[in-house]
Amino acid sequence: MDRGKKKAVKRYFDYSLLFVTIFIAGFGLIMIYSTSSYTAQMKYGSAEYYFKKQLIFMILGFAAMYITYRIDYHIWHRFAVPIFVAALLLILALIPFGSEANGATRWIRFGGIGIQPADVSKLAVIIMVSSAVCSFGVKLKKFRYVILICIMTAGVQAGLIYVISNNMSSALIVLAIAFVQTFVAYPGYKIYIFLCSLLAAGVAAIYAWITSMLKSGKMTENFRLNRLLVWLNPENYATGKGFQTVQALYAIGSGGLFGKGLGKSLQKLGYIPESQNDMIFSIICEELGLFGAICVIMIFGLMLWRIAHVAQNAPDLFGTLLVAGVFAHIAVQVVLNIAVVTNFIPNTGVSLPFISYGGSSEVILLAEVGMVLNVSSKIRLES
Amino acid sequence: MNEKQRNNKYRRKKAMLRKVQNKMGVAFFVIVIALLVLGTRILLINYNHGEAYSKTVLDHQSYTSTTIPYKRGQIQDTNGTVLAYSEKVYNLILDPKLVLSDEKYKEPTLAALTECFDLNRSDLENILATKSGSQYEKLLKELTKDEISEMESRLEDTENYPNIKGVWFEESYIRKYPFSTLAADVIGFASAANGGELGLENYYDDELSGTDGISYSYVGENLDVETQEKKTEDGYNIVTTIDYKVQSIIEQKIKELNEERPSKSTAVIAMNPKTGEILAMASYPTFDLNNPRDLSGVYTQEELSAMSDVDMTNAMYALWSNYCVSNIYEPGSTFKPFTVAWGLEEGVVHDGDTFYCAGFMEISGSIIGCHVMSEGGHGTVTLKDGLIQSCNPTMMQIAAKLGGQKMAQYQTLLGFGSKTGIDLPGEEAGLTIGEDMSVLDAACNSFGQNINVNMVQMAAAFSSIINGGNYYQPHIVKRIETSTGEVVKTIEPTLVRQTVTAETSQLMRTYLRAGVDEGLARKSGVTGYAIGGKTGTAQKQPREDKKWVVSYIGCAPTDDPQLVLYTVIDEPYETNGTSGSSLDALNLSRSIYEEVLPYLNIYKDTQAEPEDTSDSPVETTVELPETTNEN
Repeated sequence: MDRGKKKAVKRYFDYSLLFVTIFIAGFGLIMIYSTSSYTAQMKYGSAEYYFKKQLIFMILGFAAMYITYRIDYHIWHRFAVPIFVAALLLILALIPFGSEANGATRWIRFGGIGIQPADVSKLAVIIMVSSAVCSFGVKLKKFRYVILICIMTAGVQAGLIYVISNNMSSALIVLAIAFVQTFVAYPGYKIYIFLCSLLAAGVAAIYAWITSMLKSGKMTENFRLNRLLVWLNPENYATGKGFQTVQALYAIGSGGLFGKGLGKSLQKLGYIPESQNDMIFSIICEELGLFGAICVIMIFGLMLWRIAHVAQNAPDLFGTLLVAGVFAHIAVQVVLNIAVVTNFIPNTGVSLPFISYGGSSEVILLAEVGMVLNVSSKIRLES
Repeated sequence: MNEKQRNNKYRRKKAMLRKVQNKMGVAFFVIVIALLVLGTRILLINYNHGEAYSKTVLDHQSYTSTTIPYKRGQIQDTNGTVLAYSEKVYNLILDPKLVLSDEKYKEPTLAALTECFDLNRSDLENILATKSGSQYEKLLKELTKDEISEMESRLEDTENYPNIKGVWFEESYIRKYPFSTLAADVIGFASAANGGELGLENYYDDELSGTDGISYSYVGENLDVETQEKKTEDGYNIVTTIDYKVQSIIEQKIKELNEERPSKSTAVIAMNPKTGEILAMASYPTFDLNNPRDLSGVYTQEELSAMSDVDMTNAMYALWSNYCVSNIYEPGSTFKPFTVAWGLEEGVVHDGDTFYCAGFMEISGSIIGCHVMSEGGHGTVTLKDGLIQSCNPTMMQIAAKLGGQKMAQYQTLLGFGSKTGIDLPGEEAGLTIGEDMSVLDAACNSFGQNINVNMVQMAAAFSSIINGGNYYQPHIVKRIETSTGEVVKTIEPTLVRQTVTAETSQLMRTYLRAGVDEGLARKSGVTGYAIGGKTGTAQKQPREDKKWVVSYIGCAPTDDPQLVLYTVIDEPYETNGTSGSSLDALNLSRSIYEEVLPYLNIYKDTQAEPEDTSDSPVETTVELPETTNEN
């Protein structure tokens, strides 16, 4: 560590990442205003209701980002377990203190602010996995330790999230983060290629089974299965469970090349309920068109590239894994969200990072970017 | 740990880190692939379904647009009295689909409907059952604001009546005619489907019509849905030259006459000779503008039930047609002032010239009589006496001096044979023989037979020969205004041409006054008023039917005419097949003068002594020879 105290060592700082983050957050705020003002006017009599709340969270988020940027990331190694336990307790706190919305208990309210423990959980898992991998060190060459880490960290968190708040998508994201982090850490590809093939075969089998069920007319009242049926033929369920999906597709399809223009979406006028949330990308497609949508995807690509770049140049394993976790968090959510909106996968509630409305996720994500920036600042430039 | 071990460990760590960081690149690559796939997916959605989805999204919006009907303009009399206006009414609309969309709506909605309106619960249940998919069922039509107020307040009171759904009011207008029958065929009527169907409503349909507005919801700058209205543009009001008072006096007198002595038709025009403005235009029989298809005022129930649909339609059109512009007839002796004026104008006769009347004249082998034929004729008469005694041989002699060609030219000059262009629909041009008329035609034309005219032509032509020779185009609308009263257009009197010189006109007024003071029009005189006038009794075609049109045309006061009155009675009481006299026309005209002249503030000589005209002679009909049936 004495090397770090030498003078005239040039420190790196990833300005590109900072500016991309500011850009996406600002763009998200504009889209929040565009999508929510109608609903806000109807519900609360003020078009700026959601916009103002999100603005406050964004300011809080940038403050958190500055703090995490200033904190040496090695500290997280030491505090990994306390943070992990705190996140678990927060999920458990849902049982007495949680407030219910849309049939699921996902929120804890402090005054006017709602916190989603699942968001905190994601950060805790990122830190915990990084920390655990570093502790295991060379043992990790055995894949069973990978499985162990995943179950002990993400498995516990995801299980609690799923059982207590019935939030499958968050549980899956938590698992995916750990999966990506350990994939990066584990030396070797074969086992992952095997796992991916297994997954693909499983999906294909389920797909074939459902279509055959559909043909034979054996409909079951199973909730999850219904969701799959809606996914396959959303237009058949356009007035019921497929409503949101179909309306999102209408929004995307009606955008055209350059869209209807910012603020001019018709679908947000009651057709896509709470369009500022998970379905915000469909409104982006409608208002800004194919061009705007591709731009947003490219900007996310740029952001992920910068994060991956930091990960690849981090001075140590813990830094790399920490950044890989943040990378996984953002990448998985972006991909899943867009896949849901375009009905590529069955409808499940995943928000679009930095853009969808949501306080705690915005703060946590910006704090994570702050961590990445701190890691980037530890990169030494070889001159 | 020695230096070497430390270095080894460091190197191993470095190697592992490099591996890990390489795998990070793989992860990024996978994500890039995923993003590419998703981008393609968006592209494909747009490419494959773009058009259909765009249309679907636009369809979402269309339900928010509704048409707001415009208000049709008013028709007013010269003083602003409203003769026709549109009143806003409301249709009660039920949306069965919405009512049935939730079980809790049905009961309160049906209860409110039956309590607020005269509606039967079982009928409503029936509509809900049979028209469950419909969103538009018109339950009641043309309700007034008062009638719907109870329901409206319940609809607004969402606290006490939260579940009344699927009931709304559609605005529309109905046309109202406050005086029902007044000037019915002049004003005409309008229907919602076809606009103006008759009279002024038809002729000025474009002006009276406005533009429907549209109410639509759209997303405003604050991104909230605002209901925006494209305002309706109300139709223009038209101000007629009709004077309500004059019109109603005339209609009252026509009614009184026909109640006592019914005729086939009775029609009267009152015109301002200085401008060509129609002060009143009335005809009998008439109909109720608020219910124009009701024939019960004219036909008995038995007659109606015996009629076929075609008969019924024909009867309606006959009733609706405006006698004053759409009916052509041979005017008879009321045409004689024109013949005299033309003779004077052409210089073929002069004031004081004398003519001999043997009671008849032989023209081209036909014997044409005078109405005093049986008494041996008028003997020698001056030009003035020939006119005021309505002497046919005098007229025929003037016609002979003028010749057919001149007669035809003068007829054209006074507007006979062509439409006057009055602003009413359905004007008939009449029939003239033209310049190649025979000597017999010219002779018959001189006393108003073998020429077909309409009443407006007669009134306008007569106005010109007594007002100094100025022919004004007759018109009935003087001003067009917006619904708020701003003037859009003022229709000034249009001087079309000079018909006679002022001297001739002056002389004609003197002659016509003599007709009332000492001639056959004495019964039209009103004590204290300087009235000039001429009667007419014409035989209708075919001659053997012996049907008559009697008429009277006059003006007052003769030194400065302000009123021209033209009265026509078609087939007067008990004259068909026998003979007629101008008595009914004279009496009707006098009764009109008696009330209209004081109303118009026309100067009255209070020193005048009342005159007994009860046994003064009137013009009687002259049978025409069969040979003149050659129109």
